[in-house]
Amino acid sequence: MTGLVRQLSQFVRGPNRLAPERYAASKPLRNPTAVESTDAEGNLVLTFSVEHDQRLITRIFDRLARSRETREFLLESIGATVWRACDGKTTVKTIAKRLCTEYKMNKLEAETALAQYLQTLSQRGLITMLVVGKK
Amino acid sequence: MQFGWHGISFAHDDDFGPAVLTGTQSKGYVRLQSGEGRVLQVRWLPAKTPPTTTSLSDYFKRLQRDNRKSPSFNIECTETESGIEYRYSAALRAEGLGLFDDVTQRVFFVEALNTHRTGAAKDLRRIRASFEVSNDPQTWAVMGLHSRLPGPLRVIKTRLLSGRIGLDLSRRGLRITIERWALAKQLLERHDFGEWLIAASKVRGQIDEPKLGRMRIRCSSWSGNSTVIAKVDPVHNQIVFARADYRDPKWEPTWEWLDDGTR
Repeated sequence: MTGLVRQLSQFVRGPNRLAPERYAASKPLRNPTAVESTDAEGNLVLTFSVEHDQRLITRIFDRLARSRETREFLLESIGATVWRACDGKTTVKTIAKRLCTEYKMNKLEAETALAQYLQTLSQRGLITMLVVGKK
Repeated sequence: MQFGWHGISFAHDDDFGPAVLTGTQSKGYVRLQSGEGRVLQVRWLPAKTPPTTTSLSDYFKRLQRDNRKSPSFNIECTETESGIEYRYSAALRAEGLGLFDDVTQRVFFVEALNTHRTGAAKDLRRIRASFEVSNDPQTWAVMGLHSRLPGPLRVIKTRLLSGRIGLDLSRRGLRITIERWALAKQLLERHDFGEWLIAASKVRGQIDEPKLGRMRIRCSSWSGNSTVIAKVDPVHNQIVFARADYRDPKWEPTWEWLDDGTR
């Protein structure tokens, strides 16, 4: 119900959009509960525990769906580079520049791919964006 | 970086990306935009004679109409040996150039727009120094994809994805697909080049590897021939390939198609 109210208020107010300059200056920060390990092929594996909603209805659904307590994410080399750069000090712009130099990507290509990737990580609860500056 | 579309080509900063790519060989419009509000645009129209200030009045009227919401719109125009130079200020400051190419019988309006006059002039100078018009071969270049193909061609489809840029082009008896894939090194660490090329180009046939980092696959059937040539470019960490479907053997792709020149 609260989710529905939140979605409805977002629909009325419109989505919260960040100005491109503020987005470029924001600093992604890793979820500290995520545990890093490597698989047999040398890829980075992230494991983190899932926080379940404590309300009765959600607990019943979780039990019915047999939802897991932990989740695992496999990051390949470029993903791992981005993940390691999400230290809360490095800006999105700097990470994009690093991708351009290390992987010889186009500037626009690196910025677009990075924005998409950070959004995915954020949706999975693996990072949070520290936005600085005035609104 | 190089930009090429319907026989026109010029160099631009890496900040610019394509925003509008429309038109045909005779008439069209392209607009490249950067994140900071800088714009490069080229319009081309069929023409029999070089442009003059009087012949361009229609175009300037159109510019005025397009910028009617701008509080102050003014335009200055001078005729020079190379064509016409003009500048106008509306929401942005613009520096423009009207050029004529007698081989393709087209007039080009090349414009750089910026918040500052000096910025626009600098961008226009850069385009002017590298601006070329060629009918055959034609340069097709977008965001790192670079190819020199037999012209003129018609654009069927463009694919502008992050890490994968593709163009489908055609002319009578020939259909060409050119693609650029970024992160070549990382891609080839995971896949065999030949297998990857078969999957990406959808041409199954005899693999020929004339040189390290180059590959050709040929396939013939009752409906025609298909050939794909691919090149790994370690400098830009990318793979570029060109696939051609044709009946006449003269349209078989050559390595000059993938010659990236200066890029």
